[in-house]
Amino acid sequence: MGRVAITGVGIITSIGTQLDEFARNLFSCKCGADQLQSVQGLELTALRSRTAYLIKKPLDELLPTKKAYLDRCSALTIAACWLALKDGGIEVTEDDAPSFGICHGTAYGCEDSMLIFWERILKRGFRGASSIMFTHAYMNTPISLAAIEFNLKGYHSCCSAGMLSGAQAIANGTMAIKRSLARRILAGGSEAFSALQFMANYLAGELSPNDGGEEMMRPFDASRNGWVMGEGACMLLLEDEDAAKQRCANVLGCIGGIGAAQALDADSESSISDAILRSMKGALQSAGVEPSQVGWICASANGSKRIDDAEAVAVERLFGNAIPVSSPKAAFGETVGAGSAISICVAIASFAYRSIPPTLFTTTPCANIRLITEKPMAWDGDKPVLINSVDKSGAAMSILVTPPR
Amino acid sequence: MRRVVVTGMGAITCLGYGVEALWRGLIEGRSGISRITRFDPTGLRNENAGEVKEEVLSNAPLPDEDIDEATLFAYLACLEAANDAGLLELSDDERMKVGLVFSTNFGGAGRWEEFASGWLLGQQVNANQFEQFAFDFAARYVASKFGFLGPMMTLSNSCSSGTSAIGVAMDMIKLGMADIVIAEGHDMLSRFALGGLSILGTITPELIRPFDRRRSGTIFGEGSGALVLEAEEHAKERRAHIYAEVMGYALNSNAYHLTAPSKEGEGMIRVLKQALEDSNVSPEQIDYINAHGTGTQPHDPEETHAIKAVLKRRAYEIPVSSIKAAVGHVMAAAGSVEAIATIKAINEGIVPPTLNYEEPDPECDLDYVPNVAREHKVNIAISISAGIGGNNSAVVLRRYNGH
Repeated sequence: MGRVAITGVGIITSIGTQLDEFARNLFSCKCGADQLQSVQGLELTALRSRTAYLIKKPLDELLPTKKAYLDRCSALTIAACWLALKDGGIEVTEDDAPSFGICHGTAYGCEDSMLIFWERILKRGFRGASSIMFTHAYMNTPISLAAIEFNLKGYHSCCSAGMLSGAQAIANGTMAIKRSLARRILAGGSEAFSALQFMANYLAGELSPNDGGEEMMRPFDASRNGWVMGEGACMLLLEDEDAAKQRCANVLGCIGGIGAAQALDADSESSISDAILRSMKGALQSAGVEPSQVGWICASANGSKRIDDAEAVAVERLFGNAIPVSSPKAAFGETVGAGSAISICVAIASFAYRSIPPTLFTTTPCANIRLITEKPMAWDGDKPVLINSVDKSGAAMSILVTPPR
Repeated sequence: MRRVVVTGMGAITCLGYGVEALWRGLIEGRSGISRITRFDPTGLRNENAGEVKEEVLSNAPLPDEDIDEATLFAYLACLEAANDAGLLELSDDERMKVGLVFSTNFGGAGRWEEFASGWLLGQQVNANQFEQFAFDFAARYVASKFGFLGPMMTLSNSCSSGTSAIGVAMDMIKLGMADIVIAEGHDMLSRFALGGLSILGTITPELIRPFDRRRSGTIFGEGSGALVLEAEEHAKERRAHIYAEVMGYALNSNAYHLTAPSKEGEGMIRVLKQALEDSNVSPEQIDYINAHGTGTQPHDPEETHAIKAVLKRRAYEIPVSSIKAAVGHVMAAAGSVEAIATIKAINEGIVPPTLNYEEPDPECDLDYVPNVAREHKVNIAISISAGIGGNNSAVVLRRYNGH
């Protein structure tokens, strides 16, 4: 069974579009957060949480063709696919199309379109519903529109599982290539900011500052008080390594191994920690890699009290404090369904720039792990990076990305 | 690569709770479609649907928690499938390795409607309503109830979802990520979903009549289907009953239009060819097709054309039936429930009928098993699904002969 290579990335975040801009801003410790008065008609002044990581660049500029209507999540997905194809130096020809697939993850999908559609039903009844808004409100609308836009006729799958959505899509795409069900797959995730999700997460006590203190995302910090919502998209061009070699593609890294596990009790820190531990072990085992061979761990930590602690404990149990650990999320926010793919992009950037980004705003690490803070750390970029994705429910998925040979 | 078999099944549909209730209803030619009672359906193109009625639920082993219907259906189907496969007798350590591949089109849509309505009307909203809308909520719930803590995925490939889940679960086992994976599909009837599907014109104002000349649309339903997939050697080792072998599958996209079928069924032709190729099965070996057969004007001829294009002469020699007039189009659960019906057809030597079929259509000229179940030996069968967005899926299932 061949290896699965990453040969292109399309990334859109609050700190930059495309790998170079994103990496430059990441390693110069830029933060994409903005204080807002209101967003999408939602007054924030009465709320404790008023910060979000939003993409400022007009998405129209990133789309290959003009559209009469696109939900923001669909626009992000199409734009990221286009950037990934351009970065990978490939066009989908009619001959390639049946073996060129797409696997996409999103937790909330086209929430804005859903809300518009639903509001009309509430106001006008079933007969007043809008068929166009409905077709643009499916969870798989973004992936379907991307397939139509780029003639991706091959393997096709949409995953929706909270903060693991993108990781599951990448795992799904990797499995499909390993099983020879596709030669090339665009895989990743996207999430658009929606006021509805913001309010749901706010009411659930997920968002900073859930202790009434200062609003800020501080992964692994002893004083962390929740996460800050972001939006973004990241699609990776995955291909069978032999296919990549045949076309002399620039291999940015390879998917070396995947592990996944669930927590029995989402309210129990030890249960979540066990799940993360099993997930990391699974990824290493499937890659045939020992913990000591890992270069650094790109953590999922986002400032959540429970989950960050559980991840730190799991990392400490498996790696001690020997391996560098960093969570880059304070730079671009918790992008939910896009987060895992963006983290893989961070790993790829760390190979290329020989640098590990810091965990911004964290001054007092909550555990005995080798956390990189304040400024980037230089490294050789020649070892695998373990990327963790952990959902607030305690579900975990770990992906080991190996450096280009 | 490892062979993958089915060792347990569970279902809940408008025909009742349990695989036997489903199968009995199908072969007796009954339809569970009736007037919607969960909400006022006035204004929909059709006020009937394949609803799981209160009397079915009141006789089912309900959990204690207050959960949305979508999750409840998934739980009940998985409970039956897990019991059937003997998974609840496994040790805690073994259960921890069981994986889940779930699928849904609309998640906990009922709870989302409550949250969104409250939000739009400026009323108090509850974060738990939004949490239960999460598409992976059902999988997480089942994982924690039964201690199935292995790899988990939740797919949303519209009405191809259930079939997709079977394929992805098979991949997990073939690639060694798990020995046992439950492949599941679920959806509930909601005002959101039916409001959209009604205004799209997908729903018929009359009877659902797959492949009939007078067909004018589909009728939706709700429920869940769950199949326990297992590595053959693992199933043999623990002496599990094996219902069938999952030979292979395919997923693809028409890459053409969100709702219109592809030109001359091109996407469906490819998905059938790819599924046969993945299964290493030739068209001549196929004995039965459980069709997507929605009863819509454009899709039934497209599917018929694809079957004929791939199976050639064999297409005219085998039965092709759709169970949607019996249980409704159960959205993400369609592929799961139809795979269960296909496996029952393999095991029982009976193919379920296409109900309400009366007038042949020259464009749909295969043997659709009209109205009455038929004895027919099935060794290898295909179950086909397709969905909004233009995606297609197919899974090939085979009688298990012990080797």
